[in-house]
Amino acid sequence: MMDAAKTDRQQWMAILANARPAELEQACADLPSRPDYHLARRPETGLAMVRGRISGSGQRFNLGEMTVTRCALRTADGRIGVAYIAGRQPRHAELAALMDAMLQDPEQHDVVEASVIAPLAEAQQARRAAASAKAAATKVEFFTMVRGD
Amino acid sequence: MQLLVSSEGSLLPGFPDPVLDSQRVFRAVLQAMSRPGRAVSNPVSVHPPKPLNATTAALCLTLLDLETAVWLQPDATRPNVVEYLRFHCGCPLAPEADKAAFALITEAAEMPPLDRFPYGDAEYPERGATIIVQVDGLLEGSGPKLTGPGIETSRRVDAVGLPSWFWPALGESSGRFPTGVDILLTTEDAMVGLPRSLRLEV
Repeated sequence: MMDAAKTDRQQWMAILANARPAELEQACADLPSRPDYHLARRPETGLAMVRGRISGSGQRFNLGEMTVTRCALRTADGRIGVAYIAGRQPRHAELAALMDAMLQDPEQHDVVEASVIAPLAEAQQARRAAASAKAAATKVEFFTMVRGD
Repeated sequence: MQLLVSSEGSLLPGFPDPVLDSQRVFRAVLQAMSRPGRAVSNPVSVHPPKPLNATTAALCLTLLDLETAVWLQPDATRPNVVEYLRFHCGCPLAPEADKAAFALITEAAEMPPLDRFPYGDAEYPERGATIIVQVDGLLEGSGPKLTGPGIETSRRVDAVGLPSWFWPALGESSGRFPTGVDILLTTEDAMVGLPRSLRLEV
């Protein structure tokens, strides 16, 4: 439930998490350099309980469990990158955590933003738009006749 | 694995292999508790956050989770330790000793008296705390005479750094079985289990 605007970090973490693994791999490969890091938490896969709220704003309830892979690493300059990815994706989790750490570094931020985040965001946007367009094409208009009694 | 030099505030990695390493350490704890007074070596090497020693850190990674409240002695209440426990174990930190399921003692000489910790009660004896006490050395063969479950005839064990009231207090609390506290003495490489079933002659 969103009560405030997402922070920058939340936004880029969402884009990294929702990226297609192959796209992320490709975008990261294009980066000029990547810092050394050590894994504070190796990519591990587990279950998380997804919760919802009745009617979107009421009482919380357990919706069901989903598989999540998480990773946390620390780069050479002390920044901690964290990632949580849906499904069993250890490589994706590690890459996303590395990108998260690099984006926190003011010197690396712009490069990573431009070569990784922007293309991924665009691709995700395009996919969403395509799906919406497809769904819109199936929309049925209901015209109600007002009866004169 | 490339490991960076850790400063006070950095986040250290946990077990190299979380699944198998925690099982190895758990097996060691089982050995220590079922054969009281016998030193069991720590099977997994970890980099602990100071002032914890490697065995204490391994025990934390194995035994602590979000359901076990931990009381940290003031000497152990440092940002790097708190961060390590929060990140790897997710355990809540107990503000008072009497609300804790586990306790970490890094300065044995200053540890609070045993009855500050929960002993459990007749219906829920498992609510007695497990106290991990860091000591400077373990001496098998000297110290008070221990008898009881897990010891064939008797054993002797002592540790460097324990306060002088420790053994008499333990002897007294063993009369309260099945309630009581369970103690694990740890050094850098080994641990000794002192479960509440132990009987002592000081």
